[in-house]
Amino acid sequence: MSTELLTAETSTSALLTSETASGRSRRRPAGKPETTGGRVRLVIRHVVMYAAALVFMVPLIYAFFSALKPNGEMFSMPPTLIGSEIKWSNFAEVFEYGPFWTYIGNSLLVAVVGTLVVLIVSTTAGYAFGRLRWKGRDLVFVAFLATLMVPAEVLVIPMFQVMQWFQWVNTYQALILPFAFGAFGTFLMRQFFRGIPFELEEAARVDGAGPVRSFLQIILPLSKSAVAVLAVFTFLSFWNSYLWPLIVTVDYDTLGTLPIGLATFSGLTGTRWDLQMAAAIISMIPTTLLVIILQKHLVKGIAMAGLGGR
Amino acid sequence: MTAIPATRKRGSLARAEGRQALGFASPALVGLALFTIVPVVLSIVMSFFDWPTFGERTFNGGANYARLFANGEFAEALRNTLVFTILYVPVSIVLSLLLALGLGPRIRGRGALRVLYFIPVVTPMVANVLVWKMLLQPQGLFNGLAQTWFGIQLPNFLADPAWAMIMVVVMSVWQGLGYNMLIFSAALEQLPESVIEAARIDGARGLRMTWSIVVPMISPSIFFATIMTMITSLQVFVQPQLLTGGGPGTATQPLVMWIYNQGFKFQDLGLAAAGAWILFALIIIVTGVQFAAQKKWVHYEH
Amino acid sequence: MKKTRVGALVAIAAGSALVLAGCSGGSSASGGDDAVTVDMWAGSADDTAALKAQLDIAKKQNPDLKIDMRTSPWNDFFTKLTTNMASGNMACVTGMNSGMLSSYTAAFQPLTADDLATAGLSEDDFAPGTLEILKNKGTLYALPFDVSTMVTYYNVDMLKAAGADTPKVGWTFDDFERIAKQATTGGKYGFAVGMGDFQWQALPIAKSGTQPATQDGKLQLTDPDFEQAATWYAQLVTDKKVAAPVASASDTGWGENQYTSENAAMAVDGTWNAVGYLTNDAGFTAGLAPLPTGANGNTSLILGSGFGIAKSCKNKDAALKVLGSLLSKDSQDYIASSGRSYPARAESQPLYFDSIDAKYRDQVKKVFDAAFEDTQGQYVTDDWSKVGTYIQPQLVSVYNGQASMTDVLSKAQQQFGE
Repeated sequence: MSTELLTAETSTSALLTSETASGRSRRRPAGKPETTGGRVRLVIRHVVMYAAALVFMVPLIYAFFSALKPNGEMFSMPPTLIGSEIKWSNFAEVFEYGPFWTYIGNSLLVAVVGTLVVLIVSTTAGYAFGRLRWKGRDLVFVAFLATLMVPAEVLVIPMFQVMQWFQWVNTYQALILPFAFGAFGTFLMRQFFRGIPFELEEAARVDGAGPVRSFLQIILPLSKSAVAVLAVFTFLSFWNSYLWPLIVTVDYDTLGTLPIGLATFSGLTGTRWDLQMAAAIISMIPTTLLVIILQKHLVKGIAMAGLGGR
Repeated sequence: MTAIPATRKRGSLARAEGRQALGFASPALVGLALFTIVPVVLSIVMSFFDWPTFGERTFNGGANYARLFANGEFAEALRNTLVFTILYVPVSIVLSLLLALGLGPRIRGRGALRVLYFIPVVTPMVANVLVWKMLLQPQGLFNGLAQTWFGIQLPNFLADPAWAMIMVVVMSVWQGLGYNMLIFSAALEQLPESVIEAARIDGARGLRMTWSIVVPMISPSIFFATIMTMITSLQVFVQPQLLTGGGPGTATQPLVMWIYNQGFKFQDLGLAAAGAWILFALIIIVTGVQFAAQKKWVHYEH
Repeated sequence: MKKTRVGALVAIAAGSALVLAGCSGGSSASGGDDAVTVDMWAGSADDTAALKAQLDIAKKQNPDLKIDMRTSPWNDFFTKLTTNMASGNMACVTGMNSGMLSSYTAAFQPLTADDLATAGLSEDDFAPGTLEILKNKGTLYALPFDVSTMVTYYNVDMLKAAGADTPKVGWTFDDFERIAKQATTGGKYGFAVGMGDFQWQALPIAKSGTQPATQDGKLQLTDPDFEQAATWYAQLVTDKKVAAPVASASDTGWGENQYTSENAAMAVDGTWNAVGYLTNDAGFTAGLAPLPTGANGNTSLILGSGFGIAKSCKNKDAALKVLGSLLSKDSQDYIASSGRSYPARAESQPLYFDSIDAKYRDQVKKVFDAAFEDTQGQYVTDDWSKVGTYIQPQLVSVYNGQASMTDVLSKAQQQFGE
């Protein structure tokens, strides 16, 4: 692939950030439309967006109420929203069924550390691929990107073999590291970094700052929203990862993660649907919290003084 | 196009930059070498062997690949994956773009709305699938409502060869919308005010504003999202596996599920690896075509 | 500079991968060389505790051996097993289920009479017919710890409400159809068809007296008797409408779910679920009966789970001793009296019935005795799991009336038969 094809997406990255915009305040006051027609359109837009949100939520509301049903009523016909009794105890029973606090703890540990690793690796590599110039850069990047295109299901067994050589089977390192070097994060950060105007770095370079200082003091602070997006996506991917933890962990009781915990509800003698739903709801809480916290960051902008035009 | 000025700094400065680049890239490259290259190479090697899970491994050249092309089920799985991708990617991109556009600055509570749209992404697939099954099955909500309100019997969606794939796509779209919506929202949030103002002064309003100004300006991020969505949708597995089990028959069985079955159910790791590399080739080609086509519709500022 | 670096790395990686490919198998079996690892499926904390208890018995009987345990959730036990096999990591004593054995025979050591002796067991310890469970084409690969067969479960409340008769020991297929029809009323169905191999094939096998494979491992899906019985079974949904069509090919537990959700009055499932159904969450009164009797008797498959020795096991004798302990009287008594499984050891079997609630005890004993009277080991082909994987999703179309059972069976026969 020619260099040209890759350098073309500069602006993608620029558009993934809010910080490099021209000096305008993000929080422009939402001016009310002057005309009645405009006001009506605005109301309609509100209605549509909220209705859409409700449609999105319907299956989840259903899931929540299903978690409160007794096991036998999960598939009763005609389908009911609320079962014959409201069993809040299902949520507590989840923790009695198996070592769920351990599962949650492990998932948190793996996801948090894994996300940190990915952030560090992706920002540094994204800087190397996106801002620094060196021979063979784009070719190496294409090869790197190509690794995204191999389905994980087929890499799992060879990867397990590698873990055996390192003697990392059934360890935390094995849960965190092998898939923490994927190309997605680097791709995202590279795209993003390419959009930051060079004038910013140039000014610092002229002052004698090397790439390291440039990276730490100029590029990174400008990249908060891209980093936030990457953090959310990466955390999510670790949190919901199932096949790899299943394979590389031997002692599920001590090292198991939440998705494995969810699988334990199905056995030879049937499935505890009620507890599985309750556990699924519980497992959504940390990720939802993360999104709520970072959401503001994802789209907030900071006025950058002195940057007229793009 | 880079923003670095035209003067090429050859010599010691460039070499220094090269070394620093190596430093910056080293965590990623070391990780790549340790954790990605070896399994990848190992799996390529496996695809040229008769590699049962347990027992003798014998080199068999391209025999695995030949078997793939003779295998009708492989071809069908490939077709299913393509159908899924062709249906899923445009719908997902368009809808998430519409959602992001809809959540303009004047909508109150857009932060909360964004979180709500994102929640299906965050929900474990097991829960999503269970709920959708309860909606779609003949004894489920949709059919129940259809019969009581309209007196019609809806088809058995997940058991019908025509409808099953459509439902897999629908559920996947619902589940994945928040993801791309977030990317587009970020892009929209930081469109330069100056251009919008200029367009407004020139008389652009509403739909015309959106279509001729806003969308082209965020086309690079649409491109990025399209590439990533296409790569992941060509590798779809969990949604059909849980929702329809690949059925009815093999009507919704995607390629990765076929690969998984060969490896984990039928103990034929060599064949599975070969299938995966065919998929890889397909993804590279599709991505390459997209990169080539971007000149036609992606607008860059420089 | 960058290029050569990366190039060198790739070359090294490729080289080592090739070297590895040249070697067969992999590292030695897991654990220290003197520890015997037991690998079994377990879901809840209760399951794990029960396994631990059996392990403790084994430890007590073999104080000089170090014994470890590892577990996986049932649904993924075989995914894990595949990985372990591929990387030479299989546990010395590994659990196996009769339905899955045919795909994994390569990984287990065939067991001889001498092996049983080393384990401290003899063939007479096992109830008649149970040793067939984990044999494949006549070779014994694992020893069973529990034994089960297929029976019919029914919902007493639903049948009474519909004014239908109740299945009894010795009932016929005519009785079955009649009861199913009577119970199909008010939006509920009299019967629920199965999607799992054992569940859906049970009635056709009983009706025709034939299995879809021969004893020497040849596929015979299109055997006229079996095909006719299978078609009759599918028509319960499409023509007689006494059972609901299945919603999705991923509903592998369809019949059982319909039954426990009280959408259907009867379903076929294994005896391993007897206690579960009798003490069900929904609170309905349940009952069980053997499979209906037809012109060819009421043959039912004898199934179960057990433990085998991995081919890659380094200390076979120690493993055999552990195996023997896991199947010893103490261990079998334990699982019987806790009501967890109906043991394979003949002398422990009565304890199972003692553990059942008094109000069901007689019924369960009578039904078990009747059901186990006419059993056959399952005959499978070498690629049995491929056959099952092919047929199962097609069943959805058959039940939905969009494909015919004869078509599906003949296509499968064509593809997998010789």
